[in-house]
Amino acid sequence: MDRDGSALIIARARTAARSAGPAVVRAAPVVPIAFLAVFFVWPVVRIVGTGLAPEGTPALGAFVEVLTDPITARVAWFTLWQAVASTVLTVVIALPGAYAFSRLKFRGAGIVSAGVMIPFVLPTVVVASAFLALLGPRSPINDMLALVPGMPDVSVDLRRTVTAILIAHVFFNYAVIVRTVGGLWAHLDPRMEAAARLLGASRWRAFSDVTLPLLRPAIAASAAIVFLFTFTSFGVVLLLGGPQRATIEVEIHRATTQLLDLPMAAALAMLQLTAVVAALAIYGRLARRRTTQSLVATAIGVRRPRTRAERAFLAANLAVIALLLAAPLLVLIERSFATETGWDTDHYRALFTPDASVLSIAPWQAIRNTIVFACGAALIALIVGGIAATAATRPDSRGAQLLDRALMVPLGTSAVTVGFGFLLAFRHPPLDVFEAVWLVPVAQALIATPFVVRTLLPVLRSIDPRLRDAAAVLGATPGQVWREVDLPIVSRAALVAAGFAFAVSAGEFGATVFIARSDWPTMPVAIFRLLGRPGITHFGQAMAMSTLLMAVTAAVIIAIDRVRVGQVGRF
Amino acid sequence: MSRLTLDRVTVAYDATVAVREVSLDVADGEIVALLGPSGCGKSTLLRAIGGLEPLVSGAVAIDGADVTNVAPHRRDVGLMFQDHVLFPHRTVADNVAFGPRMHGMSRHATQQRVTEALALVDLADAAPRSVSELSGGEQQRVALARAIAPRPRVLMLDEPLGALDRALRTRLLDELPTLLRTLGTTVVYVTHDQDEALGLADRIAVMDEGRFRQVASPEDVWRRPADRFVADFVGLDQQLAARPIAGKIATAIGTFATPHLEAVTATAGWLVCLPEAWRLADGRVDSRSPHFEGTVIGRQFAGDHLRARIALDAADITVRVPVAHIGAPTIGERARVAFDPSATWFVSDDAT
Repeated sequence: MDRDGSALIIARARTAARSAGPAVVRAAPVVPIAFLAVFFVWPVVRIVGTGLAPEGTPALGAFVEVLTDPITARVAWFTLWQAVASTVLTVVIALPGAYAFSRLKFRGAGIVSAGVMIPFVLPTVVVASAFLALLGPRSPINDMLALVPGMPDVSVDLRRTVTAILIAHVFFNYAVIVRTVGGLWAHLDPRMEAAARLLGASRWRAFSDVTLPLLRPAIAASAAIVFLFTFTSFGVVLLLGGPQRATIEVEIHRATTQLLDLPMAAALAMLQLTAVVAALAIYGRLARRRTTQSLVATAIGVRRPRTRAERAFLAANLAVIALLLAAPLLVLIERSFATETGWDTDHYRALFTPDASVLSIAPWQAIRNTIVFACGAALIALIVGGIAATAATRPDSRGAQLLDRALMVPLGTSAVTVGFGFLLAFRHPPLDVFEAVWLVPVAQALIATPFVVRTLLPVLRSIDPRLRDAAAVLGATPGQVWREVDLPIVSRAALVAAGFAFAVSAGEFGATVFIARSDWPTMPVAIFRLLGRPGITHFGQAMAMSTLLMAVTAAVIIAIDRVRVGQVGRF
Repeated sequence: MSRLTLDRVTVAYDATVAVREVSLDVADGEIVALLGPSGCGKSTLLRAIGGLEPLVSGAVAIDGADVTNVAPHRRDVGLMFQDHVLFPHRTVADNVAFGPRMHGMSRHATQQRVTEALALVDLADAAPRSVSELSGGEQQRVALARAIAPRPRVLMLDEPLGALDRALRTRLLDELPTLLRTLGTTVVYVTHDQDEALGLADRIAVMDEGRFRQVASPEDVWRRPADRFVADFVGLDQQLAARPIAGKIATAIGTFATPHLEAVTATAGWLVCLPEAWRLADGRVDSRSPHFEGTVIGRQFAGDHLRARIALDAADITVRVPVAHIGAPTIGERARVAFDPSATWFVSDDAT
């Protein structure tokens, strides 16, 4: 057949393929697209509109003024350098950990590697609380120092310092590097390094000339993720940094809630959005460069530490985890029980006593709100993300790929942008943030959906498409195929995704703090308000509530890790 | 039990046309084998019959009713996939029960079908087991049971013996025709193995590059291949370059009268020699068939016979020598061979 004839046949084949499948199935991607359009694109449009045309008519004056303001420059510079510093610090501290946990076998490795994940998914407010407890004036460190004779005047108070922010960021993102780089490291063929050694390379040369280049894509990609997270860090900086240490996120919040200057906040949000999109584009590039070197099953490379140096190395890494990851959480728990008269459950009881706090509602209601909202958000995220992931699995659909990418954007654009956008976009019934309480779970779902997609997609893609063919030929309708083949295989992953979405939503702070009505606060918002009040009672209650929130989140994450499907929490 | 009709079926993937204008009529209860090398489009054709690939043009009909635009689940055809594709999350019984269940059968009727199908493939005891525990041969039989349990109108088998080891294949090759005949279903059987196709099909469709080269009975395909490709593919690799001249075929070793020369219009082609065309001449000289002398240049033991490679003056040929034959040739020896022109078939060059 001549070329034109073939082309014609192919063109007709495409048409035929496109018309396959019932209308419902083909129409399903509309759900995530509509969801994104209404709850993400429209708010972003409103941000841009408010930034460029504050009074409804284009007026670039305010926009230019904000961008040329030396304060903006200072904030932007601080945002950038703290993110770079946090990223570098995290990589330097976590890289040895990645090696230790991917190559060395030791008792309790499973628990440690699950435990390392916990900080990553902990609510930012809980992390901030923990570091306030550890590094603030009420730190047990100070209690201990006071007992040391001869140094009565020394006390640790790292609140409102960059140090506290950086340490908290390392705490948060340690797992990102360990899991991503360690994941690849565990699968690199150890014989390559052995070959290099036999060819005369020293241990260090073997690492730097053979292993490091192979790991570089994973290091770069995970570092980019850490950069993105720390660049858009909000809760930690807001609570630990103070007004002098504001990132763009914090400044958007301040401009909105304290200065009531929406055009300024919008201009900052646009700046943020631009920076994040650029960072995401770079990340996309890096992630595409995958290592194609020979990978092996994990078990081959893992062994017990053999030399004294290796044992010391492992011990050092475990010590880092104990000091950096475990200590703040333990101090947080300890402080939640600490009262003027010793350890007791006063603060917890206060949470369940009406009118015992500065919140406009009883604290236990914040707990109820959190659970209700997070369940709703998890459900929405599961539906939207599930449909999007299913659509993205379907063959030859370029639109599906685009959808997959588009759903990742809210993750990067930061929760504050989402919350601020909601505040600007939804001011009239039925979409009114001051009335419609259900917009809170919607915003949380927007942030949780990328996690759902990332969890479901690999599992859906791993299903042999011929299983669906086999079911169809045996008489299953497309709906039955989904129910009988996809669902049973995917249900575990869906459970994990739902749990993840629940944990993310329950701890969500950046968006929720903008749109949660004062009589409908969630736990993170309540903790934030409690921490803003003076006195040991409020501090203790904040610690107690943080501990409860941590317990819930950690329980969900540990349960998820038990189910162990796919690449939860990896990017 | 149904008739399957393919009318100028064309199937294309993104950049390639996999099946081009293929027509075939499979009678009720007939077993047709699609035989061809990998990538020839035979599996694609199966998928198209099952409704899993859209047709670019042409039509598929079952019992005279056009099913070209009918969804797979409404076609009532069975497909046993290459490497089985069992549902990994279900037991053997659940895999087999899937089809009857999807057809809305009652629990009781489904159970009956499962028992029946598993009994047919001799796996009655395996029902509660997980499919991942099964051996390759058992999986293969479960896949067959699953495909036949809904009693499809047309049963399609895609390389059903492909992934099995030799001993198992030989055994199943013995059992399968009996089983298929018992079912009485119309069967389309895809394979790249000529022994399978010759052994169990009523008719063979030899396929290459998306087209049928020949559709004929196994005996016809073997004795009267349509072209050189078919001859090669079924293993008739002894071919002599030939030219038809005055009602005879001229080759490097002589000019012979061969069967079926009336229809030959080509000017050049190949004389395909069936294995029995050459034999080692024992002492008795049969004046009716031409004899040649040559040197043994190779020998290959093949169990019940030897294949001796013999260099004649004008060509190298292969002779099958029964192992019991006294004085089996050794390399370097001179040997006399007899040629039987009636065991040859001329294929023209035009077809390729």
